[in-house]
Amino acid sequence: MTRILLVEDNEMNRDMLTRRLERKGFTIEAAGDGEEALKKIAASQPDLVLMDMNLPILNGWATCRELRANPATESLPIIALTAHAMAEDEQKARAAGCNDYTTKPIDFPLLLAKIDNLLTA
Amino acid sequence: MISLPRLTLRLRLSISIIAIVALFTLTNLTYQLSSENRNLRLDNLQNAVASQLATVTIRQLLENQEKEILVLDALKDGGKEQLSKEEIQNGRSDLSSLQAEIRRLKPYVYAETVDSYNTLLAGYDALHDGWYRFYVGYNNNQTPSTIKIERAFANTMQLLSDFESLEILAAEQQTLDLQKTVRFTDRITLTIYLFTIALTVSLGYLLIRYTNRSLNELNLGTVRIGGGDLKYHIPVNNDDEIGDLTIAFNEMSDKLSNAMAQVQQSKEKADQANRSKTNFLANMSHELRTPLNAIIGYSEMIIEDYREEKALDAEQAVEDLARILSSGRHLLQLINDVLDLAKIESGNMTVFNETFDSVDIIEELMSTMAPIAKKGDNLLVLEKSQDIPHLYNDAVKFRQLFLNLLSNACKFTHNGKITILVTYNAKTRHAVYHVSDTGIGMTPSQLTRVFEAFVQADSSTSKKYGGTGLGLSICKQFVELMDGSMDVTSAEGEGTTFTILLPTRAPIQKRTDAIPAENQQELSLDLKASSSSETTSVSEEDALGRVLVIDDDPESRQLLLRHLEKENYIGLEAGDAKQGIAIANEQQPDLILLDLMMPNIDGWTALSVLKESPSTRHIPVILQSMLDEKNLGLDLGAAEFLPKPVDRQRMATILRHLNPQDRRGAALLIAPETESRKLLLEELTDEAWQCMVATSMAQVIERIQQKSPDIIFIGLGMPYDSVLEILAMLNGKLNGKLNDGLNAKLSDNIDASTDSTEDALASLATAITAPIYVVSETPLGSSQSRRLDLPADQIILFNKDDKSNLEKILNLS
Repeated sequence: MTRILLVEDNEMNRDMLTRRLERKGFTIEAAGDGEEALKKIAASQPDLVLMDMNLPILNGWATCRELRANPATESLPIIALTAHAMAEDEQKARAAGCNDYTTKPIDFPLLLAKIDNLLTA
Repeated sequence: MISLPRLTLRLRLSISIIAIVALFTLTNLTYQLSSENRNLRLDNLQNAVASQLATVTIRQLLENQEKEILVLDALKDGGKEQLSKEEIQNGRSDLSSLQAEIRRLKPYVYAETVDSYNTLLAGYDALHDGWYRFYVGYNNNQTPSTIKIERAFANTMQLLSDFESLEILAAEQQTLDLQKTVRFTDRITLTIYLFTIALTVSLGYLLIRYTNRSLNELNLGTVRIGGGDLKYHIPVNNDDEIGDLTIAFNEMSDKLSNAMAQVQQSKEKADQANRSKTNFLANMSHELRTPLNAIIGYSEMIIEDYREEKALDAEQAVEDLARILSSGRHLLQLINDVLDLAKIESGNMTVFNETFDSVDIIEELMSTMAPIAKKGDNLLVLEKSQDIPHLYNDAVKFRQLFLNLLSNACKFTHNGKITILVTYNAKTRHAVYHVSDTGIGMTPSQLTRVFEAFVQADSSTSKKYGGTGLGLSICKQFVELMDGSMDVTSAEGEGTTFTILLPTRAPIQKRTDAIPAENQQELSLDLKASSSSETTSVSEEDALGRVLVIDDDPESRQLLLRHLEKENYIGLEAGDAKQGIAIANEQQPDLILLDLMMPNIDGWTALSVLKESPSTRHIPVILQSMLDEKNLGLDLGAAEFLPKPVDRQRMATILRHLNPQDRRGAALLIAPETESRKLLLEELTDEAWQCMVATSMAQVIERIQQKSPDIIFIGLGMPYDSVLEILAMLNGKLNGKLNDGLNAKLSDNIDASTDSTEDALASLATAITAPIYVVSETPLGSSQSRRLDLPADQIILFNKDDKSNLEKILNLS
């Protein structure tokens, strides 16, 4: 069973993605902000993280950098999910340590492909 | 204190030249003096030589005379005969000539030798006497003693020698003196000469050095300033022409520097605007994507559910659909707000002024908001000072502004109090509105950004409280459009207070809305009462006019008809464009309300048909649409634009402005688009004129064919030649000068009865009976005025400072 941590503060989006991914057979755990995400990862490391960037308390970029700084999570696959769709936003996300990047509204098959790609790599 | 004259370069040069000329003259004078002395010396020498020669001659003569006397004496001693009379006469004449010879010495006598000369004369006189008596007494033997004569002769010779040597001495002395003088004057001449040369050279050097230095400084300055150092000031050392040049140059560089600063500033402003535009776009994209994500995600999920024919959970589906709906609504709100902002920013947001009671609107809003306030357990309170004057402002914006502020207050306050305090500042004639809540408040840093677009106090705020983050930005811009100001104070956890100031300036008195605000209120109450009974309809006599409503949607048609009835208009209705055009042709309404979105023939087509047909093109058409199509609509010949959903008050004002029964007439304004034209248009509209605008000959013809104007204004930035040409056309004096395009336009539009364009033009001109006024911002020259061939009172001055001429004309007509 592949375990995915979904970090998303928007309730609607969190609910929607959780349900859709669960239908595809993933086990989903959710966090509403960066700090909660770090705690959950420390408690039990998932196989992959889907990370929104505009998060309260600790934002997505800072959370990614912290994960990359920690040897235990430095190679944890992270996909950025964001409504920021400018070219420099992707660069910013990758610079913070994300392995991949996808913009909202989410192209679900593409997201699945990206997840699959990262998990088999 | 004597003020010295300015030491200008010209003065310097003049002084130098005068000094050099003076010295030169002095040199010449001393030279003259010395040469005179030289001549004097030469004369002196000549004198001395002549004197020597004369004394030699005298000595010779004396010695000869002595010899002759001695011979005669010897002869007498020898007993010789008597002397003849001639011989005596000869001797005496010899003596006389000798005397004359001695007297001829006189001119050569010097001051030093006068005494010696006189003694010589006395000595010779004695000798002469002796000799004379010798001759006289010779024949009588009574001659004086020769010894005595001898002695006198020797004495005279001695005296002559003395005189001679004294003469030489004196001449030598004189020569010596002269020599001294000559040497002295020579020295003076030389000195002055040398001094003149030295002065010339040094003056020249100083002048060159001085001008060189000043010019060098100037040159250095120009190089530095030219190199971009615009702050550099060339030092002003001299109060002269170069100083003036330097000052002028510094001023020039200052001006240049200012201009550069301005350019820099506007560039920065443009860059800033560009950056904020980019930012706005990025934010916009972000804000649009977030609700879209939910909409697309949930829709896909629901579709999947149906496709896979799983056991459908109806409850879950409704929940998901509700989420889609709410996201969609949020998106719509966002788009509306963004459009509002864009409209404001592009300057297309117009303010629609009317007189209204702001407290009434606030009370109305409070009753609207009451359920929402109650939901958050909030108390909604209105406090006001006794007399709040009515506002002459945009009531729709006022309503939107306060609705926004109140819903914000409700959103961020729970179990608290929301207070609206209205006061009046009689001094500044402002109505002051405070909207305070006891909600979550803001931190100082949040407070500084609260009016920026897409900024909510916290990014999580929108998730918790909703909203687009554009509301306050729009509010602020609205207030500014309304000529007011908006401010905010807040403390975190204690609440927020928005303060709005709006001017209560009295509306300009207009013929068309002479109804005072209170009466208006009564009137609307009356109408409300009357409209409640369905049977009431407006009678033909009382009606303000007949308005045709063309709209495919029966509901909105009915709404408009109800509004029209309330405003005392007779309503005519058409359910599609075809029917509408037919009714317009048959019934000739005063105004047409035309919906743009209709099946089959849409509003745009209907508009062009109405505007092209000679029987309907004079009827003002008011376009209606959800989208803002105002500019396009006006370009295509519409008279006004009324956004949907229709605001009754706004509609009433537009109808009032356009209704021909209320209007004073049609004014044609021929001028390019300028501030002044806008001003004139505003004046005319305020005076209830229906305005048409043309910027070219072609448009003038087109407008006149649409509707014959009652008054024509031309000018305000129109090229003078174009004015002349159009005037000639309007007066029927333009013969065959139209280009093909205009010809085509004429032949298209003129009745078939006239076949030549010249005839067409002539008939057009005769159709114009309206007075024509040439309007200029600045007074025209007399020759320009003459060439216009118009009476002087039809050439008027009009600008933002002087509207008196226009007012005079409008009062006359």
